[in-house]
Amino acid sequence: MWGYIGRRLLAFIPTVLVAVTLIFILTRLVPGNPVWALLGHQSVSAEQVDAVARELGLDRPILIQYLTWLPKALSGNFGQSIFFEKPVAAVIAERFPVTLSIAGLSTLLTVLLAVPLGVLAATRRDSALDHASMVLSIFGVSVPSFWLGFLFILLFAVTLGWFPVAGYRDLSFGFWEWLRRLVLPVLALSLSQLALLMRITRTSMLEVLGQEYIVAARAKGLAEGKVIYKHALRNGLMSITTVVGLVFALTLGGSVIIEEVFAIPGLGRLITNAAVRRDYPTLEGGMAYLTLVALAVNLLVDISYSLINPRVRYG
Amino acid sequence: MGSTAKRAPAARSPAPLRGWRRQLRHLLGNRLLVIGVVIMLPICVMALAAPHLTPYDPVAIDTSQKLLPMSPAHPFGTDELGRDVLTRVIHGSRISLRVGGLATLFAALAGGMLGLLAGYYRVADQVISRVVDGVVMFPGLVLGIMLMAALGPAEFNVVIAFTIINAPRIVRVVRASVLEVKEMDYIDAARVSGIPNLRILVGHILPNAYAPAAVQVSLGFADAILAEAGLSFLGIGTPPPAPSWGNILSDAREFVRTAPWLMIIPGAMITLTVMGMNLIGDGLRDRFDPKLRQARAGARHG
Repeated sequence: MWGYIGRRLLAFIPTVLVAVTLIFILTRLVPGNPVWALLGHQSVSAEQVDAVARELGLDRPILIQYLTWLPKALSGNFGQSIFFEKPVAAVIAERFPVTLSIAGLSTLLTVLLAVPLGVLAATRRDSALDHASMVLSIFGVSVPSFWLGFLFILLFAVTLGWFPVAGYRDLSFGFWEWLRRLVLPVLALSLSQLALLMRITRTSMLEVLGQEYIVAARAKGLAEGKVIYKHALRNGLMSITTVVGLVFALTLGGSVIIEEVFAIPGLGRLITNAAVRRDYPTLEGGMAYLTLVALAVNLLVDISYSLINPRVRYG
Repeated sequence: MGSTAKRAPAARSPAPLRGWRRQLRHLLGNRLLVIGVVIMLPICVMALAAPHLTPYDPVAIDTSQKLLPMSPAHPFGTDELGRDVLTRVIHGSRISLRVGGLATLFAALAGGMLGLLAGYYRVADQVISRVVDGVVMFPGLVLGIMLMAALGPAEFNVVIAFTIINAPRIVRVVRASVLEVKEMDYIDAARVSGIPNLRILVGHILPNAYAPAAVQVSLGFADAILAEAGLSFLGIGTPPPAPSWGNILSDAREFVRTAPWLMIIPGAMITLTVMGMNLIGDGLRDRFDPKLRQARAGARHG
């Protein structure tokens, strides 16, 4: 088992390298000179542009730029944000807990709701509940989260006044103040992941329920509840755990857009604004953090899966 | 083929058509697929006939008519620049389907070709699969933002961005199908009889990859429409004043309190279109292979 974990950790290194390198390549593909973004299109002389480019090391060959950039990036140093005029790492450190709150709560809600619903749908196959969950999951993967967010604002904030329209407060204002502002964004964000996980749970439970040991358990006269919750669910949950990392990654990606709807100052909004403002160091840093966290969570899920499931250890 | 034609009732019609008809009957029995097509057909017609459907211009500004509520003249009201919302939504279907369609087409072509190469040639696989793994690593929308920042906001750049995002899934699906059939006897037979590699690939291996790729293509279409709306909403997709559904929603956000009708219809249209394409994808998957269910979840997001 330790061998497996070691191998997974080793394989993570090239993955990180590839991710960071791709981010570098993508931002260097930008047509035009990034110095213009930095100088804000003022009327500057060609000498000034050259001076700034030299200062940033942009006059050197791309390979040299990459080789000096890479070790810094890997240590979390993405340089100075052009817009905020402070280190990118500091800007990200402010925003990151916000996005983590949203993604964490959203993943929690998704798992807590989707797994029981998926199990119910599988055990009552072709019932009204199963069909309703099918409709919900097709709707869930199709509805844009940002539109859902607007509908929630319209209904729960503007009309009913239950929750604030937008904004964010951190935990220093108290738990309720923090949670209150996250309810609507988390709900809007969760639906599509909920739909996905519910279907995966259903499929995976149906597969387990079709296996011979379940037939045997039933044949020896075990109560149906025991068959499902003691025998089937344990094996069914096994494959569901692997999806949790995926759900978290999707939530992280989705938070980009939901933060915009609810005016929440998170990492996603930072990335969007950096893209619009052409603040490339911030864009690179934000992308790298978001992607690496998603990858790291996936890695953790894979490793914990190997701890739960003895069969993987040989793989 | 001759003997089966004699046994079949419609013996006179040529064999391919008979097969086609049987296929059609199969497809009509597939509820998801039928509902999906029923949703998508009017939307496609709407997109094609857009300029003939409404008397208004989707981008002409008339501030004397701004923020009008729903009325017979403007069934969905007008926006803050006096543009008819229904007109913009109808024209928006063109942008959504064009962007989604082109991105899907390019992704299918590029992904199909790279998938064939990766599955057939081991050396190509090393390169292609590494790149695919790299692209798949990023959360989809985040990669979209990154690409749009690099390419600059323009409708065709959205197409390029989603080609890059969607192609890897198709590469994976096609590669897997190729690997599955590559070692089969009939491929060996073809090789031994001296058929050139290219013809083996296109004539004998590609048809096996067609079904799973078709599923992936329709699901990718749905995702592209959803993501185009998302990027436009964020202000880095199709640039305004083009009436893309995401742009309409983006404009409407300031008027959630005062003019909620501005956002309800475009959002509903996005949902309906994406649902239609998802249903077609799900239906095709059920039709071709029930076992693909699991593979989809992984291939789509993994």
